[in-house]
Amino acid sequence: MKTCMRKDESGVSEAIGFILIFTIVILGISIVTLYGYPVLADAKISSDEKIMEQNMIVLQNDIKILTRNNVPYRDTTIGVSGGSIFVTNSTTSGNEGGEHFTLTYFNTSSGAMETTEYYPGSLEFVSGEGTAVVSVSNGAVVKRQQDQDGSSMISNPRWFYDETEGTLVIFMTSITSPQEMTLGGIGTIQMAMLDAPEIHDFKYAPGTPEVKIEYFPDLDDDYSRAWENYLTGPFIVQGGFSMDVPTGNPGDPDIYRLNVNRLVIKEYTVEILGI
Amino acid sequence: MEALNDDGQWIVMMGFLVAIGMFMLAIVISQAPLVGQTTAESVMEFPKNEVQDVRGKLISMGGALPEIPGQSDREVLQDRFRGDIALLSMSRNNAIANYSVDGSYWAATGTYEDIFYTYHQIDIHYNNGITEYTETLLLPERR
Repeated sequence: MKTCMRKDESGVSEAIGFILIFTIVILGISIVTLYGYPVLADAKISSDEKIMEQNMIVLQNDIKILTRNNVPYRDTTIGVSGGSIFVTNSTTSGNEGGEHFTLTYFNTSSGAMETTEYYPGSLEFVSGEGTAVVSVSNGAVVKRQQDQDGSSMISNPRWFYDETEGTLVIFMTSITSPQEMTLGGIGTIQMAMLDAPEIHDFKYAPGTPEVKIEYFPDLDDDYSRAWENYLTGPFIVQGGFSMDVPTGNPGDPDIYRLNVNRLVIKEYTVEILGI
Repeated sequence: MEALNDDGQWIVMMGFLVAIGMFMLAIVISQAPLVGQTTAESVMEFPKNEVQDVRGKLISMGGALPEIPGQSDREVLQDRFRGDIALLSMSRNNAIANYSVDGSYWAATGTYEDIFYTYHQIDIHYNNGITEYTETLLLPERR
């Protein structure tokens, strides 16, 4: 059967058609401009932050290679986008009372309790467009948001506890630099570890007081939550360190304790030669 | 009336396929650094040579290892050897290494014997924070 299409076009106006299509195009463009661009910009910022998290893990790995694999020098080229990297010298941090750890332990050779302070210093990325702050500090990669409480550990340091021997091994890595340094854009970070690490090794008889670790946060750059989660979580020892109830006063340390049979502390100093 | 010519539809189809393919590739590529890093780390960081060193040393020490009760020079040797292994492992490889001869961390032990040999049970324990390795080997000693 032959179909018959009507060829009547009396209701069709070219002008109205043009206006309709033109309106749709303009609406499309304005929706993209109003909503699409901010979303794109946000996506760029968050992808920059993700990339920098990866970069900081690369730097952490380089520090690991320097400290643990007996390699004296290490160069890494990284691209810093959407912010800059700052080097915080461990001694400067010590003079200004920045973030630090203290370890309190029984020294078997002197026969007394001993407290040692460690100012780790840091390599810190501060996002210029977003709010993220990512820091390589004391062998860990930690992250926080500017002007907000809380922080998280992206990559753990390699402290460990051996259940069979009851041995706790702590690595304290401090970062020094000959002068203040910042990096934005593409640059090469040159690192060196020329001094042999200092090793403290104590074997304890049963009944020796526990090892105490205190974390003193820098109030403007506070990673206490990240370290709390790491130390009290199951990462080092099953069940974690026991934590003293926080006093709640800003500036007071978080205190963690663990009973061990043997304690090994290795102190590394990594020097940032240039970026 | 003009007939509808739909011969060109495969172009649109191909366009879709290529777009989906690129999307999949992007997902794979975005995962690659993470996977590559963890795989490379776990392969590179397995302390094969370090474990073999400790093991080889213990085997080459051979008959000097077993403690003989009441024989103090054997005990002194044992203590030195154990101390050296622990110290070297910690300073060079950041690892805890220890061993026991004829007296174990894990299992009830003793020596095993046949007509020609006495077998000493040696337990090796190695832990560098990532890899924890334990092994039991029987070291024959001519009777």
